[in-house]
Formats: sequence, C-alpha cells, structure tokens
Amino acid sequence: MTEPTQRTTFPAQGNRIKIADKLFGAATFFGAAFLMVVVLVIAYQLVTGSWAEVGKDGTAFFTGSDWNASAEKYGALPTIWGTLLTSLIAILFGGLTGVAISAYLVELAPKWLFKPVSFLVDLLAAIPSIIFGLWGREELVPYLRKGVYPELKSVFGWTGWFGTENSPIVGNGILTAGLVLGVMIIPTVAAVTREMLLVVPKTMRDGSLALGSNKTEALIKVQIPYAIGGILGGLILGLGRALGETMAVTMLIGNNPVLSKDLLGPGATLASLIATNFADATNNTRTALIGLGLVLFCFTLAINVLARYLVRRVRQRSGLSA
Amino acid sequence: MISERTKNFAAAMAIVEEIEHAQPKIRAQNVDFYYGAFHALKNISLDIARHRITALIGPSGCGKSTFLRSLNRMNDLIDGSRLEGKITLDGTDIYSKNVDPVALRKQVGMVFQKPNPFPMSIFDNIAYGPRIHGIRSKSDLDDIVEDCLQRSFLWEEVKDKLRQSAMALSGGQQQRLCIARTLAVEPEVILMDEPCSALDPIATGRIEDLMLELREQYTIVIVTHNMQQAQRASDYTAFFYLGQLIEVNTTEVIFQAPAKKETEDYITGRFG
Repeated sequence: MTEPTQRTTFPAQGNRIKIADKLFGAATFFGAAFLMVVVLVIAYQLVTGSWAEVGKDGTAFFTGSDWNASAEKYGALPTIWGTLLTSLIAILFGGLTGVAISAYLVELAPKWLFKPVSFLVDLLAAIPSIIFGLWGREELVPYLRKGVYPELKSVFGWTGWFGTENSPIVGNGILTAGLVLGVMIIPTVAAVTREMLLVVPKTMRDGSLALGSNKTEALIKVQIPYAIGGILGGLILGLGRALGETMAVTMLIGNNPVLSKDLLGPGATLASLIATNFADATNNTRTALIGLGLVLFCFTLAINVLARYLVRRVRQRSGLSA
Repeated sequence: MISERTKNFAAAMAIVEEIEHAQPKIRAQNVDFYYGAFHALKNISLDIARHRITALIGPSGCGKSTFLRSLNRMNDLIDGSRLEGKITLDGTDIYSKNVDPVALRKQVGMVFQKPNPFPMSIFDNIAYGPRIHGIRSKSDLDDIVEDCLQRSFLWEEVKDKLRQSAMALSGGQQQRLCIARTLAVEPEVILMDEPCSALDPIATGRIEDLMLELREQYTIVIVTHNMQQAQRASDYTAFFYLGQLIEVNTTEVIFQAPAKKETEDYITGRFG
C-alpha cells in the first residue's frame, strides 16, 4: 500500500535534482571553457598585435642583438639573454636554498622548529614583489655595491663575467636581480620540496639507516632521489615565476638591453623592458614590445610542457611509476 | 706422552670453542621500554643464541617488534622513547655513550616488513651499503653484488638486468634483494621484522630456505605472526604478551610442550 505513494514522490524530487545537476554541470563547463578561451585569445592577440614587426623582421627579431627604439631597431636577443640569465641565477640560488631549507626541516631539524619555519617560508610567498624591489634597492644594492661586488670583481674579474675594466660598479644589474628573484622563488621551491619529502615512505629512511648510513646520507642518497620528480616540478614552478617576474626585476636590473656577459653590469629582461617602455611607446615600438610579450608567453608555455615531461621521465627512470 | 698431550689440548680447544659458541650473541637484561608514558616492554631478559634463528612471536602490540628494533637502536629515532636496562652484543653494551648507533647498525642489519628497495637499480641497491662504508672500486663492488645476490638466491633471476630499477621486481624478489642488500654490509646479526607478511607462500618458502642457509654465518632474530613459519624456520622461540616475555625455549618445546598457559593458548590459536 505504501509503495505507490513512495514511487510518486521519487520522480518529483529526481526532476529537481536533475535541473540542479544540469545547472551545476553547465556552470563548471563554462568555467573550464572560459579558461581555454582566455588563453587562446591572449595567444591570438599577442600574435596579431606584434605581427607587423615580428613578421617584417622574421628571425632577425629573435636573434637581433640591438634594441634601439629611437633608431627603430628591434632585436629581442639581449632581453631573452637577460631573462634566461636572471632566471638561471635565481634557480641556482633560490632552488638550492629552498631544497636545503625543506630537507633540513623535514629530517634534520628539531621537531619544534618545523611549524614556525614552515610558516615563515609560506609568509615569504605572500610578500608583494614591489616590497622585494624596494628592499633590494634600498638595502641590498648599497650593500652589494660596497661590500661584495668589488671583491667578486677583483677575484673573478678576469673571467669577464664579473665586471669589466672601465665600467663602474653600480650595484644594480643582472646578478642583483637574479639573487632577489632567487629569494622570491624560495617559498615555491621550499613548499613543494617539503610536501614531496613528507610523503616519502619512512621505510626508505629506515632502510638506509639500517645499513649503517647516517641521516644525511639517507636524505641525499635515498629520500631526495625518491622525491626528485616532485622537487623538479617545484624548481620549474619557481623558474616559471622567475621568468615572468616584473616589478622587482625592473627596479633592480638597470634596464639597459645590451648583450653582455658582465653579471655585475645592467641588463634587461623581456618583462622589465615591456614594463619600462610600454607606457610611452608608439607605433612600431609598441608592436615590437608586444612581440617581446609573445616571446615571454612562449617561454613560460615551453617551461611548463618541459616540466611535465621531465617529471614523468624522472619518475619512470627510478621506477616509481609506470 | 706427546700424543696424549696433543689429544688433551685438542679436547681443551674443543671445549673452549663450545663455551665460546654457547655464549649468547646478544643478551638483554631487565630491559624496559617506554613510548612517552606507554610502557611497551616490561623487564625483558632474553639471550639470543649465536648462529641460530630466534623467533619472536606474540599477538599484535605485544612488544616483539619494539624489542627487535631496540637491538639495533632503530627506536632511537622515535621522539619521547626511552630504554632502561642493558643490551649487550658480544659483551659490549650497545646503549653505552661511546657506541655510535650508525656503526652498530652496520653490525646489526635489518630487513623490514614491507620490501623497501631504494628507487635505483638492482646493482645500486646492493652497492648502497658498501659505498657508504667507503668501497669505491668497481671490481670490488661487482664482486660484492654478485656474491650477495648468489647467497640470496636471486642471481639467476636478475643477472641480466642489474641496471634496471629494483622497483620493477616482484614482492618476493624485492624482499630477497633487501636481504642481499643487508648481507652486503657484512653484518653479524640480521633482524627480520615479519619479512614475509607481504609475500605469497612460494616467496615465503624461499625466504625461509634462505634464512636456514644464512644461519651458518649469521645470528638471526625474526618477528613473525605465522606459527608455521616459527616452527619451520627457527631454533628458539620467545613468546611475548602485553609487553612481557612469557616464555622462551627451543622451538620444539614451545610448540610441543609449552610451560605457560598463555603460550599454549596463543600457539593453538585460542587468541591473538
């Protein structure tokens, strides 16, 4: 007797749920689709916006070593060079520091230190880049100019990478920008490394210790290799941030698009040159700057693809995933 | 006359050897162990016979694994743990201030419950310990790797893929690899913490054969939940219950005529 009444109530409820279900499905679909459209529109507009210049110069736009807006010479190479160099310095300095911080926190540090230091590292990520720029400009640059760079120049000057004969040391430059970028990517690298090391099974560490290794050997030879896929992912995330970071770099690099291997001298990155010149740029220069944007867009895209490939490759090689 | 003296001397030497052999390899005296406030081992005194296999049995949480891990000081790694009493290895107190736990673990190796090969090649897994202890020569390492794999009956199965990842081996092969890896640092004692609990019966049989083979050169202590395994592959059996050592004797006596009622209840499967 009760069965029929129950049956009549079910479809009514089912209909309501179906509508909500469809609405929700549609909302999530549009969210996902929106993202794809945004990426495609940006790519399209970068290409069309810069084509007048990039298309005219062809490969010369990418390989030209001279950027001179008043002479309408647009070579992207000095800024590509500056971008790669600052990012490389950042990843060497910030990457190593970030991995070291987390390795220490997870395995070697006393337990009570874990939470406060983790918190500080995460806090570092929340500091706006303009603050890093200010700090770099006001505190770091004077210090490096007086205390560090003259020493570097006198010891390694002969290599040509650290200062040249007739250039004064100003403090602003590629190395300064790279170091500050390094500090800025520490939280990214450290947070990813920390999470990756935390999920390494404790049996890995114990297995190593049971063979008579000390904790450092276990960490360097077993635990970090076990987590290396994820750590690489974190390093590449950091690299992505370093490539595109604008504000702090603009304040510290000197903004002179020259092709030079002098790390103490000024340079420019793709992002910093766009930031400093775009507001006043007209016609062709504007078009060429959009071209730099296109190059940067492709760089970050390539880095992400490379990251995915690398992480998969490394994990396969150590046998951690099929 | 001379022959008489020689004979006496030989007899005396045999007795000395026997006495030496009768000396336990490991001797635990009045050992108490605490995890924070939890009293995990209560006044354990147990001798581990040299070149014999001693099985530790008992229901989960009885303290047998804790006892095993205190023999190579793996428990040191647990925050807030504390050991009282004395454990000696060949007469040396392993908890004394001047014993380095890292050096101790080279003498007292350990095989874990779940096979835990490192994420590297088969060769590098075996060579891991020797490399840490300073062996660099390629030919020495080659010899060690082959020898250890031979002794753990794994050589024939893996000799053509030494450079491949150890993670690709089957569970039973991984566990034999872990035993081979332990042999490579030339320990005197091998501790095994339920080494077969993740393995099928065939792989388990191979590990047991291997243990009986290794007994010639090593002192083995094994924790097991498997009564048949204790019977098949051990000389002595110690029964732990609620942190106490209830009874220890030859495996035959424990399983044929246990002295304590708790032991009998456990081995006949009435609890645990």
